[in-house]
Amino acid sequence: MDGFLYKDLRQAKIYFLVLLICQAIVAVLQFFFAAIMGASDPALTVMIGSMFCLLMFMIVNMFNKTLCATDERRGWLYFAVSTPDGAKRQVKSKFTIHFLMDLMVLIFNFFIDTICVGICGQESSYIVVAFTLFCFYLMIGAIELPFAFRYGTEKGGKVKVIALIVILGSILLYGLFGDISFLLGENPWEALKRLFKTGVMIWVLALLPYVSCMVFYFCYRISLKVYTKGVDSYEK
Amino acid sequence: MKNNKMNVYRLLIFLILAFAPLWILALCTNSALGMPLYESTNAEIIYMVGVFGMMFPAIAHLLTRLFTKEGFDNTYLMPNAEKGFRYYAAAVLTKLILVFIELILLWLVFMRELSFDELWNFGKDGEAVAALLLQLAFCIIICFPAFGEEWGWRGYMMPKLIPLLGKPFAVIAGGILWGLWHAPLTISGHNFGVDYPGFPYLGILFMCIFCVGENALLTYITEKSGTIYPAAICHSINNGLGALVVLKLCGSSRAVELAEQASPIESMRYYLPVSVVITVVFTWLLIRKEKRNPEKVD
Repeated sequence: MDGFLYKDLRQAKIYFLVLLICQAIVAVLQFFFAAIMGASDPALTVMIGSMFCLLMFMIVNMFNKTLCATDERRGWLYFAVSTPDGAKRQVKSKFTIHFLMDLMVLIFNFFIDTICVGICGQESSYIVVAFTLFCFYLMIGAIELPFAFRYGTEKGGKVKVIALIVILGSILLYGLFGDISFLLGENPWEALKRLFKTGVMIWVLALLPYVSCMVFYFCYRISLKVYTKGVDSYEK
Repeated sequence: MKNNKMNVYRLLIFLILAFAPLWILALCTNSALGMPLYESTNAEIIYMVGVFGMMFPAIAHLLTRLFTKEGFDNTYLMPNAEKGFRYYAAAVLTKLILVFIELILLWLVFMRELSFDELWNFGKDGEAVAALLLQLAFCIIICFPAFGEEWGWRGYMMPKLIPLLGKPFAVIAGGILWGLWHAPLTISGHNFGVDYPGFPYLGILFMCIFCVGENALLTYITEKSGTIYPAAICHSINNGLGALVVLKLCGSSRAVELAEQASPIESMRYYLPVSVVITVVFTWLLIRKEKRNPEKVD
């Protein structure tokens, strides 16, 4: 195993442990909700599962940012750049940790979802939501990394916040001024499910995994180019 | 000699740990339901048995290494993504070609009343194509159950069998073992149901032949790439994007109706020659790789 990846895995050990504990607690809560009300209201199980999944992805992205920040020391950066292929291996290990953490959340949620389906039926499966969140957070986290390497994690984090504000703002604006008649008059949950199975939205869902993989790869390639330029820009 | 004895010992422990839980699980679920598992309408239990059952070979692999103090060298867990990306792409492409062949066979045998164009209904905005792309991405990224099987069979069993039997016989023996591992599920109606002549022996036989072909393909992919993940992805596509699934997503209603009426055991009978061809081709490729690089053979 590459030394830089080993170092990052050792540093991230505590985060993996926290992730494991959080997921275990979340799993128990989800099974409890599924057992109590899942069979009568599968939509509620899906919403609860999706919310917990979103929470876990947000926590994991905070961990990734902290891990990047721990290496923002001039001495370490100069050491990394001075070793053979050091810049490449440092960048690769950060992207690998980012991918592994998101993948862990997806794996946990897959098995939690399987058990919830066993308790209250196929209608309560939220795995498509978990899969979409995985692709989304993989992409957003990857977009942040080149900025973090070039300008530092503080500034890199602001880029991610701006991207999220733009996306959420667009959804909010559409909600205020767009056509939401499809949500009114009937079961909004069924209307939402139908929305994601037709028209533009199904194409968005279908292409998101491929786009997110491409963005992840291109951000990796960009990070390789900007890493050494970023070394001198850190203040510490 | 001592190495071979140790290999046999470890292989036996692995096989016991892989086979026993599935037999127990299948027996318990059949008793609890009062009927063969796959004949019941309890889709949730079937799904859970499928997902968790597929993890048993990986658990067996892990436990065997721990019990026999083998250590964790040569686990095939490093992804080799940068150098080996073409193997990932080749694994996906190869499996999609095989799915296409399966589809053609299904059409030729059971759906001749329809022309090839009449098989398809892509929806007014091409939604069916979008659904297909989403399903493919799903199979590639969420290949965890398939990883569970592959890390056991290709990640542990095949590297143990090959030094004992040589590649051609190891491929056949490994495939038969893998097919027999499916036996409790085949007896429970998996893949072929329970209403066919020769149940369950014919189903188990067909499953073994199919698994020999898949074993040749997946062993070749694993050896070539040096990692287990392309094989896991290939296996996941096989399970999640078979010909019937493709038809359900993109097929016309008449095509789906005809496909669902087709007897699964009959469909498999027509696919078996393809399995034999796959076995021959990929075993030859494995042997050819060995002859080209004799110093790299264990």
